Amino acid sequence: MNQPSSQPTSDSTTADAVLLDRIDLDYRQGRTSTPALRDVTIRIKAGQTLALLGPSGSGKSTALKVLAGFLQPTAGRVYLDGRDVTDLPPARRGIGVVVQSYALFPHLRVDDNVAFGLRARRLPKDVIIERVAEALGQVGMSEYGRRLPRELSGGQQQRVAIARALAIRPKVLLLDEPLAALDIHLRQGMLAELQRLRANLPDTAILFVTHDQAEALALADQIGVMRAGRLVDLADTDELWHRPPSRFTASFLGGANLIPVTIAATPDESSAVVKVAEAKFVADRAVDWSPGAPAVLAVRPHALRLTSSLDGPDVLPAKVTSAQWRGPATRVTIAVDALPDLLVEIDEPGVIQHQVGDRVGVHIPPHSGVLVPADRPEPDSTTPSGASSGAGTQAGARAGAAVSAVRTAPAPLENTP
Amino acid sequence: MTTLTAPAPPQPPAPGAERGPLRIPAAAWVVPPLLLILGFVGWPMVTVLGESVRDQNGALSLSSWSTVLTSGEFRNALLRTAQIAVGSTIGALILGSFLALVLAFVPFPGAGLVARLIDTVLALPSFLITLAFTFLYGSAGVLQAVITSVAGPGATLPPILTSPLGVILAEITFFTPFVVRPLLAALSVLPREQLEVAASLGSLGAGPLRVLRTVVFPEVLPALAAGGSLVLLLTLNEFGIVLFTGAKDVTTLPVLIYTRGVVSLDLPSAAVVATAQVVLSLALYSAYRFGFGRLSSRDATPEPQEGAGNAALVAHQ
Repeated sequence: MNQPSSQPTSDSTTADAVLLDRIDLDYRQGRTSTPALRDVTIRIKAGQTLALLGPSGSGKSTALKVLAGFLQPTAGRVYLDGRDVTDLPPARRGIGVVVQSYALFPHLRVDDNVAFGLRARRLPKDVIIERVAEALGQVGMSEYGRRLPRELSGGQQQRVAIARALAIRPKVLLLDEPLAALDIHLRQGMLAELQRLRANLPDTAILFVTHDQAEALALADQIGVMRAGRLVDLADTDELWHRPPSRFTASFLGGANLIPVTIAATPDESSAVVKVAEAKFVADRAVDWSPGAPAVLAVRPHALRLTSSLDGPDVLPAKVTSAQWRGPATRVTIAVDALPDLLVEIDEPGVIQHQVGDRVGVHIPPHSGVLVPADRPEPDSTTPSGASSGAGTQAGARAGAAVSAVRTAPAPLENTP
Repeated sequence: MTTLTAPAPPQPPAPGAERGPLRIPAAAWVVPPLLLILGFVGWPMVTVLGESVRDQNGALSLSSWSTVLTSGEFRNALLRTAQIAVGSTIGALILGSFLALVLAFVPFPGAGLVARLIDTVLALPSFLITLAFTFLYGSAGVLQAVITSVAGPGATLPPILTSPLGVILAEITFFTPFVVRPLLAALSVLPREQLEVAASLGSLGAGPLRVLRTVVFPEVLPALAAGGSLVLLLTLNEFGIVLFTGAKDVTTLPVLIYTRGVVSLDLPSAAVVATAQVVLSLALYSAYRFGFGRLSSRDATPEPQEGAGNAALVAHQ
């Protein structure tokens, strides 16, 4: 049941443009009830962009629909600028929405599509004309006002959809997988467009739902990682990339390998010496660990290195199980002798000469991995499906990591892209 | 020296080439359906037309045409037919749209059952509805019995059932499913995201009704036009419902044909009215096809020019 109180139960600051406060949502069909969201709290400040990232079915689009007013939460409240809007219909929330399928009205021309929300507000005709021209100009579609949606390409349609959402000058803009329906080339172009657009909307809070971590990293100030209807982690983009607080986030954001280790020593506040079999490595850490405690070392594939030597204090002997050339790098999957239940993935630049079955050494450079808790329970059996180390590598390069981004892959399944 | 010769490519079989033990020319397949159409459609129509240009003695004459077309009875029947057809169609469109919208967008227990019941009406003969109306609302029907028991033997129902309004109500009842079914199909494929976005773009006082008017109805217009046109055609030719209401003063073109041909045995006049009825139906059907073709071509999706999008992007940057 919805809480009758209009006061946020979570700690609130008046600067929150958006607050989803402890949202639960169940899908009911007959007597069966399926939980879709559980205790989801999200805050976005004006001018900030928050990306909700997660595998399919994790609840990220559902959270967006609750904010838009398309779905009514079973529990919890929705606040916009500190005002409780939980019981208000979508039209009275003043939110701009852009969906994956564009959802342009096919019988209306581009300028009529963009003017739709303005006419609903019964604005004067000259104001509508001015706003439509402004919105179309923002997305570079000024020349296409008299076209019908079917006469536009996918990228153009998406731009019109964005213009339509912007025309009503919303304080909150919701983008639900806006680039998912575009091909890779158009997606890159639209990503740059969205970055430019975000810079031009300094007072607008943006919630961006995606399953593509590269998009989230490129656009968001904060990222929330969702899984099985719960918000697993929520932090600044940089922090979440460099110091993922959970195994799931480490694995999903950047496709890190999750290697079980034992803490050997903690020489300072931000690093630890960890042990895998007889080999020792230096890793980053965000929390206190006692020597001897089990942990998981999250290391992204691009941070690991293959060596010809099988011996050494910081080398793990292993065997190549597969090698896939992917253009800029080769994805090598290896079975580490000391970790019989684990396959580790490594991105080696260029083309490598190793064959399946070759014996190799795995080197984990100092501070290339970060420790995450070993015993954090997984919410369910959902396997991250969007982890792509290729994108992770790209995003990592963008971040210009002082600490090489890291993640660990505890099981072969979670390590499979 | 060795000369390499490319092997001859396999030749495609010639048209009509042997494909099996039985060889039938393609044109032969056209003959049976053509004969069927000529026999069951063309011949009766030619017969009717031929009958209309003969006088009572069997001689060739256009006197029947001039007599019938200038008669007040024909004009009244034509007017009455148009009134009933248009009224029934408008009623069926309004009621059918309402039912389809409720079934599509207002979830309630038993919605599926209601939809199936509406389908069931399509399978019933039209006169059955009128018969039920007679049992319920006729001068000896259930409603009259209730009124008599409450208000006394002098109280009577107004004779709505035997009036043009009664015919229209009966036809609306019977033909509404012909609007509901295609409209439900169109509504079921309407992208939900469009409705959500439209709802989010609305404003105070411009909610669901505006979304219906500006988004939903324009998109389902072809289905609405198809259902409405079908109802208009069917009501134009409806005979059973008019006959079973027992409305003596309601003479439509089909009733006039029946009266002239079967009751009065004035076959030439009946043939003239029948021919006029056929021409009217074909004209309406042609108008429907033309209109539907326009709507369909409006909704056709030409291939978008991706290059134009890139050009726009470059120009913008």
